[in-house]
Amino acid sequence: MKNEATYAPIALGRAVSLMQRHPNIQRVRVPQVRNGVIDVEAAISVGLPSRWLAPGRSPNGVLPVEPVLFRFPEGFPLRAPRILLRQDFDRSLAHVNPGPPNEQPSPCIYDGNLDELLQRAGIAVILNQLVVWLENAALGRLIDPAQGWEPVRRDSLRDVFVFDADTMRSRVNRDAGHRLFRLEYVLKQSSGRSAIFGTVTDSTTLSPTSAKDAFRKVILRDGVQYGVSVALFVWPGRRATGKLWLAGEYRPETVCDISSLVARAKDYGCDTQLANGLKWVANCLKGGVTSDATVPVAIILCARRPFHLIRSDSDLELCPYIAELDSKSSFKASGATGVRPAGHRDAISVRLLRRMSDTDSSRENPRWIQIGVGSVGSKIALHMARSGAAPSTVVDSGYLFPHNAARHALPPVGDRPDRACFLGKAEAVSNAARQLAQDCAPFNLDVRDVLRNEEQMNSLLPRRAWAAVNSTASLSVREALASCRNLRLRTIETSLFSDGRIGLVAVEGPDRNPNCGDLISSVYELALRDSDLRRVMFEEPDSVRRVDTGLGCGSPTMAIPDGRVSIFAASMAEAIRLLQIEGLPGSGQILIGKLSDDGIGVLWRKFEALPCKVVRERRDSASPLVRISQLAHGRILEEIGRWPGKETGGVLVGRFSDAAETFYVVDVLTAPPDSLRSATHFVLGKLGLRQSLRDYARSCNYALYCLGTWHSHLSPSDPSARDYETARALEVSRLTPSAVVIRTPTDYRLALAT
Amino acid sequence: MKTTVTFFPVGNGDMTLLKFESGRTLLIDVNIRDAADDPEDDTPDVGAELRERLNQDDAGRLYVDAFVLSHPDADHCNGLREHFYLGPPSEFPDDSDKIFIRELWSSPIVFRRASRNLTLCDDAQALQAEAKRRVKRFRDSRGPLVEGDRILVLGEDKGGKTDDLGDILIKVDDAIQRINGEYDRSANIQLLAPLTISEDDLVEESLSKNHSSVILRIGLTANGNENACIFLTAGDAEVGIWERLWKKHAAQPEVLQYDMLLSPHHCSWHALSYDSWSELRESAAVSSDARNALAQALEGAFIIAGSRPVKDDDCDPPCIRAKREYEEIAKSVRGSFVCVGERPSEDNPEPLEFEITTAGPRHLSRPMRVSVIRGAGAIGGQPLAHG
Repeated sequence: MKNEATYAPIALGRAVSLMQRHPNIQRVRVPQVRNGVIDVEAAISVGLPSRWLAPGRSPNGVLPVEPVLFRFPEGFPLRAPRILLRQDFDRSLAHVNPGPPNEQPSPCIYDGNLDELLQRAGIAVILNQLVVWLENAALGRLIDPAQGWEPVRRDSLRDVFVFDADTMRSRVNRDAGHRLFRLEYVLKQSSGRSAIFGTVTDSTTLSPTSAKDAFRKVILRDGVQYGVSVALFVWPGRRATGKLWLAGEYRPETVCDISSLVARAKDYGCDTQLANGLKWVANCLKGGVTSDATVPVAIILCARRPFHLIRSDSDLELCPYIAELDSKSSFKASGATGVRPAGHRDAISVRLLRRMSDTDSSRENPRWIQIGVGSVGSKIALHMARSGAAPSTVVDSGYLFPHNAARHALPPVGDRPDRACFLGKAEAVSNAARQLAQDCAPFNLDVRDVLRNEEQMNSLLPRRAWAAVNSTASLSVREALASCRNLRLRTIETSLFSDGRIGLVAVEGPDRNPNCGDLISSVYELALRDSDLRRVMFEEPDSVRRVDTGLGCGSPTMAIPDGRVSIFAASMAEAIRLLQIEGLPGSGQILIGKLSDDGIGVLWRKFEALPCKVVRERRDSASPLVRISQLAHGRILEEIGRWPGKETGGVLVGRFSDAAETFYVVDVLTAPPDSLRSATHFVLGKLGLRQSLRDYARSCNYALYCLGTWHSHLSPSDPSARDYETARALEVSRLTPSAVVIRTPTDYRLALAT
Repeated sequence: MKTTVTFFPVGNGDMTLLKFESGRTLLIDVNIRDAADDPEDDTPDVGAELRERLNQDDAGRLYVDAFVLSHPDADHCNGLREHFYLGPPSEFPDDSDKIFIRELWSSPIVFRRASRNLTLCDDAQALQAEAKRRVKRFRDSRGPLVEGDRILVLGEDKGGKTDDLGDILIKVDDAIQRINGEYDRSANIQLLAPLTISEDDLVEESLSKNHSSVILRIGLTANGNENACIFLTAGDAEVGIWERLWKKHAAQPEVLQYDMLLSPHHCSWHALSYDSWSELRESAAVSSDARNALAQALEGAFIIAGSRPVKDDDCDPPCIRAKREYEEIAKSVRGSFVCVGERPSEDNPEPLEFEITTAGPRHLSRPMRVSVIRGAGAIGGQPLAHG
């Protein structure tokens, strides 16, 4: 059954009744049905200043009571009425929609879609807007120089050209000129009219002889035509006085043929260049198009305005048109040749993306590296790229396989999804960034190998870059980054834990202190103290499992839906974007996000991570390290303060990294009550200690455990023989390396068994 | 900053807020009746409408830079104690939401004792006390006053009572150059009345408080153009005052010219005639001098009636005959007569607001509010029987 659009008479009745009650509407005439539309005429009172009431009109001709026609379309109330002013209303006012002179002028009362405004706020708001528009028109306030020159509204036009306005403007100098650009277009026929969507790309030096292969036309299907043609860009120069040609008068968009286009170009001071350009285009077309054909040509006039355009720092307004030139008239543009105003859309550029993301476009994009572009990393990279801040480098050794389609940000491309495999993940993200007008160098490498190769590391992870974001979810990559003491670049880790119920953003501090090893240790410590986090992170079964991705093939991963990954990845990308805007923090930072119980939201908490005290056994770069967190350091000092004149001590807890040869001390446990303290030595007792250490390690599923002991010396002295003896005793008693840390009044010292 | 003049729908009474281009505000009279504060009552909530238009100071207080009471009648000062802070500025309570009056402009009637001819309502007495407090502050300090203590006395009183007021005394025909202690080029304010009248005159002529009404001629600046609109506001000044003013200024009638006139005493017949409207109806005589004084309208001028809707009846004020006179004056300059109580409708009057443009005042359109369209209508407004 044909679904015919019909009027909703009740809705129309309601609208008319509401119009009658609007305070500015003096009278409403009975609706008239004409050619399938319904016209409702209303008399609208306009608040004119007292001194214009005597002459009965504003200086620009607005009346105290304006007749306005509301043309309700068949689709009402899904479509808003068209608003038409009296035929002799001054069209030279800004904010009059483009239209031919024989049609009643239509005011542009709203910076957006009127159909949407109708749905959102109803007919009353449209009436309110119209009243404001009429009053601003009368008062000459439609253009406010403080806000900027209002360009002709072109967003409702069928034909649209995409080009980078700034690139085009950069061609304009103080002398008049014209230039040809390549135009790729798609032409569609609908409702008996053609509509062209074209992209203006590189400038081209076309000549009648070189034009042979320049023009192409291919019929695709259903009458849709793809072709290549040219865009003629014309700009003004100076007046006879030598001053720049300024087009300071607002003109309504009424161009409908070459004659009116030339007249408009004359206003803008570029009519000669337009005539020359059109002649050249005709000659090129004659040389390049052999068959009978009509070729669409874009013409972009440039007007230099007396002040900058609204929301722009440029005073150059670009006004695109489309002319369809045909071979029968040798492509010559005669006065009657039809010309239509066309819309403009900015080409994809970093500026456009930043504008859409409400990000300052003048700020220089920091150079940053994305390590790992799997499900989380690819989403972060694309979020960032869409905000105009793509990573400059992506490193990932993996390839896209079919199972990645479940969660990777980039779906398979091409006709057959299975053919989209074997593309490196880094390359796929790099390609996507290029589509978003940004350079992003792909490296199909394992970052652990990169870190082993000093030259490659300095090239891919240079210290002058902003940061490296590690989204590999790989413990070994984290360890490799933490253990690489020559890496000077701060890293930011983004990871998901526990079936995607916990998210982490860990930002290393200045000079990589705290580093990613310290930060993850602190995260475990934080989770230990938070019963909710502890349950999710440590008490429930290990959520990472092998998911089959083919016969005999599997991937160790969390089986979670894409949406949940995105919930976290979007927050992570925002955190990174804000860090780029506000600058990296003056210390380390931990953001822990927890999925809400209903599974549809995340609550993030922020923790500051202060630098660790780093203790070396030897001065060489390979020396084992003890990195003592601020929490542990504070507790050590507190304990020493409690025993003036005596040595005291306790137990170090944290984790040990084989790769980094590092003890990460997150906390200290108090010495048991049977410990002995004197001015010359400290003896760690044993009462209940074994049990409490066991409980501690079990409560975090052995993520943190005993690392050895600490004790104080009353003078700045090295470890004693007894200290080394204790260290050796610890060493032989367990498989994990142990540390004996000494706190002197000035610093820390370290005694290791080996 | 936009220059505006707002007349609030307060029935038969006045309450006019001027916002100058400098951003400073001057409130002339206040009439916030109890019913206006009652959410269950349909009387327009002019207290809220006023507050919406005021600025907040650093301490979060709403304030007016200056407040002038044209004369101490209840319909010009109702709600003063309820909505405005009266007292030393240092004692403004932390939790108060009252409006702070930075500078008070008072007529010299505050120095008079209550008498048979001068009975004051509670709000007027409170204002009188506040004015006296501020004058005392001035006399005690002999130096510049701080906000909240500042005061100007508009017009001299008999018997030299105001002779020692120095800088805070504005004599008739003088300009008020400073608002809240600051020179303000966005308003040229001239004091035309109260004319100095002895108490004996008052008794002889059976004149009332209305004759003490402050009459101000205010030239408003718009977009840097001085006197873009001349606004004449006159409280309840009656025919005798207008006759005197005409006699005084007949040779220079431009003193009485206006783009906007707040018709005296809520469109009262007694601004134009000594006769009783209800007794003599159409045979009541117009004082030609008083009419001349009120007829100096400039092209396109607005004459405003701060009153209830004007009906063709015996009522005065507002008086239908006075309306006809004003309409005639307006028509002669292709201007218009507007009654605050009738706009946009008699049932639902709203603040009548004018924007001052370089081409004079213009009526600011009020958008149709969602609350009008999506309000509950009768539900909750009246008992609704259901069978």
